[in-house]
Amino acid sequence: MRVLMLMLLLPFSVFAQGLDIYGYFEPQYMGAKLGDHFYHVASNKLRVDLAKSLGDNVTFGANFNYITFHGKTEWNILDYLPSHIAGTIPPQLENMFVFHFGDMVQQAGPITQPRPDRIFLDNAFLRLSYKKMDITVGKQQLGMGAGYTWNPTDLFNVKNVLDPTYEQPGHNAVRLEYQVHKKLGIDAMWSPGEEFEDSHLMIRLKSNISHFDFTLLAAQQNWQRSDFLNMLQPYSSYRRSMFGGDFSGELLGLGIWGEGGYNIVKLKTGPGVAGVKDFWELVIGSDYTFNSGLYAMAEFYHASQAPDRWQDYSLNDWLWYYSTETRALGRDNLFAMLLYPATDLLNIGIMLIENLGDGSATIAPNLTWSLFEDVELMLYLNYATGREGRAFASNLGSGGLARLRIYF
Amino acid sequence: MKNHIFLFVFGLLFSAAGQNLSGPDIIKKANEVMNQQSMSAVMTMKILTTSGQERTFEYQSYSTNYGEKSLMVYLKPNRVKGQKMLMTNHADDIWYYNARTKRVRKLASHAKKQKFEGSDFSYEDMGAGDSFIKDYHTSLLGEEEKNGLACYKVKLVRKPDSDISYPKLIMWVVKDNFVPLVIDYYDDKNPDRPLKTLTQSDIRIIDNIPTAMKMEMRNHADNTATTMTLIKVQYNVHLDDEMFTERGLKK
Repeated sequence: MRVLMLMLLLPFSVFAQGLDIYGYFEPQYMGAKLGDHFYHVASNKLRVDLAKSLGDNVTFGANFNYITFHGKTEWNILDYLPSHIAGTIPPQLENMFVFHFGDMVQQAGPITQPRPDRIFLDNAFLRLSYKKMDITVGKQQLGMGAGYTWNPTDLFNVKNVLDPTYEQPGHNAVRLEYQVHKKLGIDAMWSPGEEFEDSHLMIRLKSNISHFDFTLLAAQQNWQRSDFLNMLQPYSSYRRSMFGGDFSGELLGLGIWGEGGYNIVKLKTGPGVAGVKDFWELVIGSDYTFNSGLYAMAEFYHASQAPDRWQDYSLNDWLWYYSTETRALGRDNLFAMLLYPATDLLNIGIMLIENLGDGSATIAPNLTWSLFEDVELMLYLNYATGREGRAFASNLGSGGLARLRIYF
Repeated sequence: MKNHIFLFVFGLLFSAAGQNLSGPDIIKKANEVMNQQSMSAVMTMKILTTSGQERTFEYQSYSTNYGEKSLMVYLKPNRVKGQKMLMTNHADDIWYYNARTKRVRKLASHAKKQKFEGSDFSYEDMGAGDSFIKDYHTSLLGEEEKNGLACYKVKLVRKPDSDISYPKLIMWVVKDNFVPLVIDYYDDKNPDRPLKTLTQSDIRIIDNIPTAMKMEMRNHADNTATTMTLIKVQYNVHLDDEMFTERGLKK
């Protein structure tokens, strides 16, 4: 047995030589006001990263996360819908709108019940590097697009508008980056589905003119849409083809960027979902840093498929937004941010996220404080200003978050 | 590397002592000293904050093409480990790579005004490259001993069309080797008041190049200071052009 253990451990110990292990521990508290209640959710996240260079041309990287959730870990999405929408759900279907933090199960006597913990391999990839080409294989982060808050060309991720710089999960894919010429690069991704035609495919051409970087892209996705109005056949699959691009650079001293895509959708399987049709999305942003160190930024996002009037928000619109099938509830949206280094260790700021169609907004003052060398505290409060039925309704959307992060 | 800091670490092999040099001549020579063909260095940066706390960063820096392109890779602390900053075209083009999100973001040149990791250096101070020539009119004020060394005292006044943060610099350049020894950076709101002072010291000869191993930037308004120390430096090393690309940032 000992010999067997030794045989098993030996390759790992050899591999572990030169293995870089790092990560962070992140306790977090979140409070949310819902009607007359103020609920708490706390979590503890441990992220462990592994990295190793296997010679000059091969790199291995991985991380796994273990997260425990505490407090109110069971939520009913219907509580976060306007009453005239939530009231349309038959009582016998209400359980379908309950979700739990965490995805593990535990045995309590004969009963299996959810346990609010989550452990998963977030990323694990191998990167092969050649003179002009890199190939990355495995579960990897695939972030793209010039937008800060919204990335219409990113088929893989949807950012949290209150926390847009938080890391995104890994996706199983093969990515090839090839430098054709000093001024031209190709970035191609393939994320396999059940069959080839179910795969995500994307190809991007990257170049620059003067001080502007720009990208042109074409992509194809097997796009599954939910239909909460049709519980008998709640899913339909579409083939989504996207053509678009992005740019970033500087004009008249201001940083400017843009990102957009035109999407052609064709029904593949299922009955189809009302309102799903060809659409386009666009982001335009600008920023500036004053001599005082004050940083100002604004970004506008247009989604042609989203309702323009709040009276037209349907159950599907709300749930697509909450489940990140769409990036915004309304058609025209604004994100603005001011950030100021109050001291060497403390940055204070304020964010405004506004749905320009229904006039509702949420305001989020925030701070980031370097408490010690590798210990950082982030706080934000969000106060929603809108009336009932709007995207940021004051009776549903206010709260706050405190996040401590200890890096090792 | 085209940044002021790195600029200052480079020395000159030859002396122009005894020549009658104008202000622009001196700055041109100082600029040549500061921008070697290529450079690789490991540096530490210690920040003494207003509250008396200390923060230490360590990073690897590379520059090529006489400072036209530079790359900075953070080594410590763990909070920023793996983050990278790429500057090309003398810092007119800047990209930032976040190792945690694996995203590259293009920054506009105004980002240079931001503090570098909360230190007393701005990115502009770090990466201004040929800024002394490009952004300032220069005049020689005379010769003066500074910190025990014979120096040229030079005044640099911001050109009207420049958007650089400082309206005026007073610089003491060592006569023997053209290393800028002390620089006073003046306040934009009050051009008669020095806002910050950079002092270089511990000048050693490395690869036949006089190199200031220590730099201190003192902020007079905030009463804070940041010290940079060179741990290891090599000049005129071979650096692959691929390192200084967006793709190179992700490696």
